[in-house]
Amino acid sequence: VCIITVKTQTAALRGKMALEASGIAADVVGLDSTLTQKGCAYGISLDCKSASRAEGILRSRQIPYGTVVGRAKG
Amino acid sequence: MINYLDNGATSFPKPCGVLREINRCMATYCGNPGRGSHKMALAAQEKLLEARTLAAKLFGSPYPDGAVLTLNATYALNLAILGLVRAGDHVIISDLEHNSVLRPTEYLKRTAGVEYSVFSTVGDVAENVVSLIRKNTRAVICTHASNITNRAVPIEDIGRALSGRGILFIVDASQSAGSIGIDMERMGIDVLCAPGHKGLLGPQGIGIAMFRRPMELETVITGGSGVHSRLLEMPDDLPDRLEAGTLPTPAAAGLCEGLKYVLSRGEEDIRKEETRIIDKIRDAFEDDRRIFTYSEGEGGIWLFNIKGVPSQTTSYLLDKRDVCTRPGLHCSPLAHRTLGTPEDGAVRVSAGALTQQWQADFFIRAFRDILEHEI
Repeated sequence: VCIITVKTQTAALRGKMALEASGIAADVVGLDSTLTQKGCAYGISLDCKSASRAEGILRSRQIPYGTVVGRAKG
Repeated sequence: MINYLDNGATSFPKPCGVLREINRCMATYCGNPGRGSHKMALAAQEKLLEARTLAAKLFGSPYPDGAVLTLNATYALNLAILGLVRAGDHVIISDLEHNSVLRPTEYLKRTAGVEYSVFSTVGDVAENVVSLIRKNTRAVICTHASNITNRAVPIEDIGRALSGRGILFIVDASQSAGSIGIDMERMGIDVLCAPGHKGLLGPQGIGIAMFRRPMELETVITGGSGVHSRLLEMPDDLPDRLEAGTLPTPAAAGLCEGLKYVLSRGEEDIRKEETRIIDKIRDAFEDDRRIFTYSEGEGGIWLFNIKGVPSQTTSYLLDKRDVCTRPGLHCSPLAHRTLGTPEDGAVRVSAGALTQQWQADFFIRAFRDILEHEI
């Protein structure tokens, strides 16, 4: 599982909906504290195989995101 | 039976779907949006997202995340005005402004040296605005439609006149949202503020400040945002930057249904029907020389007085006959001055999207009874 980090839950939800509309299964997850220095943040979890395509979809929908990180913890 | 004709204050009744969805929200999915990522928190967040998306569609905004959910239109206007206008700036407002624009502007004048000019809404309105522009003009802030007359400000002309000048255009759509079509992109509106409980037919307790693009904004209210909790400032991105504290998910749920109703029926049809009802009422007393009408044009408002009778008295007598109207200054002393109403204001009769024709007949009977037996 990979996680695409986003700044807000609104962006996470919008991203999840955009990805699902394109056939990519995705979930909104709270980020583990090792992934954020600013405190509570959210991400979109998905199969790593779909991560590159997902980034393209988020970019095309102008949904701001941060980085793609490896496996989710806990 | 109550004859509610005070839709300028808040719309009543609401579409059945609004009531149903508020109930459904409270009963099944009212988690805290943005606080945690469990199913109910996300279900609540999804409802907020739906409200933002529907509002962006109705108002012609390309930026749904710019739909900041607020307590009401006054909060929305305060977030926009206090968030965007800086010390030493100059702003321009119309002569029909409600206190929700006038008071924050006066506050900035008193506390930050902001100066403001007032433009006339008669004649060539766009030219009236342009003639007041200064080097330090930061924003034009104006109502789209007055809450005491049917006069609509030609905001598209103003938006066109401001294009390319680097001046923000903030519009108060409290009386027009839901009954006059708005397209922020085409009209050049940077920020549109509207209550959820008037023409958008949602419950009280929710409003919208719709920003057409990301902007640098000072915060007015700060606190919990659900994200970036270690930072001592609110997050940068909209809508979170301006949404401190828990949002009213049940109200947003109701608003979604109100927005769907307006999108499905269309503002033109709503306004046409409101106009028909008010025209019928006004026309019934047109030849009565005891009645003085202040409102003008097409729309859902009739503002009047019985000569020599305080507006409070007239409204009280109507209430005794189960007709709800609003007397006084309607929080718009500037607009009342512009229209030339007496010191104690006037009586406002206002129809809404769900007002029915029988209510006009009911009003006419009640008002004739007052004129015959009480005056």
